[in-house]
Amino acid sequence: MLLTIERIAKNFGGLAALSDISFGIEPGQIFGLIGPNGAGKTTLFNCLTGVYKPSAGRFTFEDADITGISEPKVAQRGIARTFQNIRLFKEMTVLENVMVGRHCRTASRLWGAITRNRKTRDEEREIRTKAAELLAFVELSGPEDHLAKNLPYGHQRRLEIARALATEPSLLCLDEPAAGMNPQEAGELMAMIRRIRDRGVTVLLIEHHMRVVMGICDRVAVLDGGRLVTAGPPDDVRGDPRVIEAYLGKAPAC
Amino acid sequence: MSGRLKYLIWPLWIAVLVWPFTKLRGALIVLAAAAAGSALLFVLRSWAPRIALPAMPRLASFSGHTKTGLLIALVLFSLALPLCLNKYFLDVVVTAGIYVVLALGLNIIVGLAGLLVLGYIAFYAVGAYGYAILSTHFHLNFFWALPIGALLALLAGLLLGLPTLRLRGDYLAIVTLGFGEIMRIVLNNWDGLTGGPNGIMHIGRPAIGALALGRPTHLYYIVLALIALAALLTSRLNRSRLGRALVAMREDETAARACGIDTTRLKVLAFCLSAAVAGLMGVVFAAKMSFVSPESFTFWESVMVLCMVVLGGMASVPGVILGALALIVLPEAFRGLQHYRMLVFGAAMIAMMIFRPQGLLPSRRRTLELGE
Ligand SMILES: Nc1ncnc2c1ncn2[C@@H]1O[C@H](COP(=O)(O)OP(=O)(O)OP(=O)(O)O)[C@@H](O)[C@H]1O
Ligand SMILES: [Mg+2]
Repeated sequence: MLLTIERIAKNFGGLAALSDISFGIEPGQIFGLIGPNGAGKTTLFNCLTGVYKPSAGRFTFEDADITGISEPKVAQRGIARTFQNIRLFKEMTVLENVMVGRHCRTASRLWGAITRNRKTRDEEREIRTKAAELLAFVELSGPEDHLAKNLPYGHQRRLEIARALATEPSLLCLDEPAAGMNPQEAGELMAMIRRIRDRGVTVLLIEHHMRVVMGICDRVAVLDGGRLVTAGPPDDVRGDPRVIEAYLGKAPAC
Repeated sequence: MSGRLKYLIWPLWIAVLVWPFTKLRGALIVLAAAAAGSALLFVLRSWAPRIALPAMPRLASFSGHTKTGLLIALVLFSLALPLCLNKYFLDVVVTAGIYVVLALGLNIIVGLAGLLVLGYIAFYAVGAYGYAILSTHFHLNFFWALPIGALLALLAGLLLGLPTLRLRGDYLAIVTLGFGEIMRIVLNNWDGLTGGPNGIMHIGRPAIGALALGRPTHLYYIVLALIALAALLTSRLNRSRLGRALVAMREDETAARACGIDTTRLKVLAFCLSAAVAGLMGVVFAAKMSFVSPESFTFWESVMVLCMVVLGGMASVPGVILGALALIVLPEAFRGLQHYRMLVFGAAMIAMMIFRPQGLLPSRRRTLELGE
């Protein structure tokens, strides 16, 4: 197991946003996390990546207990994420956004910054090259010098993925990356997620569109009202009456 | 404010602001003057944008050669400047220079890291009084005092920053505001150490051995060297991994943390750097005046330095330098107007915020944004 989630719970005051969630993710999978609005999907991401401390339970990642460690440490360990409502560094250029992602894999400090010694210059060049490579990978090489906030919506999503990949994660968590995209864009995005998996990165994907998830995921977990309804291969999940009741019943559009 | 409305509202606003000081007649005169200025600006902007817009050059648009040329010219000019200034103006320029470095220091925490600091001058006071005390009691040499003053201020910054910077939001602004006032009150009342309101006199001037370097010309070159150093170091910081992390943190703290940036440590670092620069310049100030008193470290001074950073263009090194020079040298030119100086100052700040919110010489990132 790459990531084991054990009996995770999260309460906000009296509201149990998550209760008793347990499942595991194998390396090399594309793992789908689905559920209706307010099911607790984003909250689970936030607990995993250190934004919130879970009220109970344990995350084991690459055989180490990472429950409750800070966000930068989580990134350092190799878990990267994107956000449901895109969070880019708006006033920085597209390239710079990805360069910031290299932060936790580089080391130059104040002394290097002000003396600009050889080591720092080499590192800076490496950061730039890697960032440019990743932009090419997400097909954003053209607008490198544009400000992030001037990119069209779909490109912003891809930029956020490139920035997350720049941290060299072994697990990439995507929070509804296809939200607001038209079917063609969403199709391209799914192809990109497959390419990411083929680079050796395990993907944990929150998604609303049932169809999209079923087409791409190796395994799927379904949340509803903060509880795990079921987890398993897409075909099993699709046929599960509890899922149909909890999820499909409430989202006829899918 | 958008569109043409701002050209109308601005003169009205100024008039209302000055009303209490100038009575109705004065306010009407101000209104007329501001309206005329506004109308002129409007005409220039809409009928002849080509005339009005290049009024402020964009550094980013110059080529490499032009930049080098400008830089050489600037260096020669600053080296030769003391030869053509009388003692009074040289003194003004040295003061302006001290503020330039202060503004560059504050720019690290305000411009780059995006944290509001309202009591910056307290760290300046730490450096100034630190040197004043060490000089009068132990005859510490000025040049030794420079790093010591910086270190003292850095420690004060650490003490203040460690508990507050863990919190998100604007706690830092409030805490530093309080710190600034506490500092002033302590300086005013701890008679034994600080001399209370009378301050400390007979502070040693810069010297190396028997070679006295206390004349205005010497101070000028000392300050010039410090400006060059501060400009070089902050612009290097600006374009480094650390500088990017600072700006990322300013833009979106949550996303920055998700990229592996330890924002707490980074904030403390930026805050301490800013404080150290202020401490350093405090030493220079004490040596220049040979006298310090609490009057020199009021809240107003903190606001001035903050205005320089904002006016010049946050995070842009040339912009901040220009902002500092503008705010020290221009009021000097309006000395005859007495307290109306402050009025002109306020009006200029408001006009800046309305017509050029990005500052005089905005940083490259902001230029990109507005160029599109
Ligand atoms: N910081 C918070 N404080 C209080 N309640 C919260 C907080 N964050 C989330 N919640 C609540 O927890 C529940 C789960 O929210 P969450 O955002 O995890 O849902 P989600 O599955 O991501 O839904 P969506 O599909 O709309 O994104 C919701 O009822 C929400 O209101
Ligand atoms: Mg969500």
